[in-house]
Amino acid sequence: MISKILFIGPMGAGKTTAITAVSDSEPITTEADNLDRAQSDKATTTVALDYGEIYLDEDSSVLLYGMPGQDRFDFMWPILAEGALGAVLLLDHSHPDAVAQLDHFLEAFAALVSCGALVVGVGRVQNSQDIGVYQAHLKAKGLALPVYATDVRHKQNVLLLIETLIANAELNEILER
Amino acid sequence: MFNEPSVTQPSGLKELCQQHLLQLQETLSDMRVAVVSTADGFPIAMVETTPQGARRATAMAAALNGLSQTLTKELATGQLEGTVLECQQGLILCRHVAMPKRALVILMVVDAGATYGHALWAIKQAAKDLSTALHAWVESKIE
Repeated sequence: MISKILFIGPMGAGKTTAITAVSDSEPITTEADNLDRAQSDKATTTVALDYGEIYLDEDSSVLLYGMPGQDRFDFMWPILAEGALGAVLLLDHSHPDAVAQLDHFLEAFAALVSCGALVVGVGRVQNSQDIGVYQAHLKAKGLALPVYATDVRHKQNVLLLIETLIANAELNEILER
Repeated sequence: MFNEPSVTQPSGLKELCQQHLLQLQETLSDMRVAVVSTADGFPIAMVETTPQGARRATAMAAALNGLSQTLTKELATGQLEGTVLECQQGLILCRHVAMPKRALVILMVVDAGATYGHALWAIKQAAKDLSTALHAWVESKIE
């Protein structure tokens, strides 16, 4: 069985890092020099996609697709989203517009949101209360999506997000039957 | 949304790129659109398109160039020189432009009436000439 999972979120949220942290194969990246330092101070940015794989057994693997985060690359989003099981939405809590960014990506990936196939990972949190902001925001919108504090440099953190997403997708599939 | 991307290009860069696009236009009567962008998708210069159209085109050119570069590397086929999309109504040609410290991308669309070889030669020559001019321009800035 092959499952496809997306990593979505704004520029600088850690999508490439997350895929690199968990991929069992050398990740494929499409990086270019980042000239938009107002959005993020990182040196490079993804311009087409990131790709990695997690091998579960001989016949099963999880394909990981990272989306470019900037709106100017939004034409890539539906191309890469085709056939995806769900998405991990990464946010950077230190960004002043993190909640607005959450809304933006919820809207852009409304089809996945509506079937509960989305998990939120928030990076650079200072304490557990920080996560409450996002949980409360989702609750106010009538959404029950898992939200985790995460450090995408650590494999276990990223695996937790992926495992939650797969578990939710399986549960949703059972409920739909 | 949020902050509009704000990338200020060095003075003179736009003019230099624009001049080379106009030269390219002169050599190819079937050229429909041509743009020069940064490798991360910001338009620098354009002919036969609006700034809004250029923004979409340059983002796609950057993605195409990035993907082509990665594919070239993955399949161990040396350095990427360019990408050609053969379409029903013409050709889309994308070419990497080497520049000190950063890379640019030149994208050109030609009508179906254009000769494949001529279009390919023209964009190759334009990228080469632009690269040479950019190197000279950067050196003049340093001096």
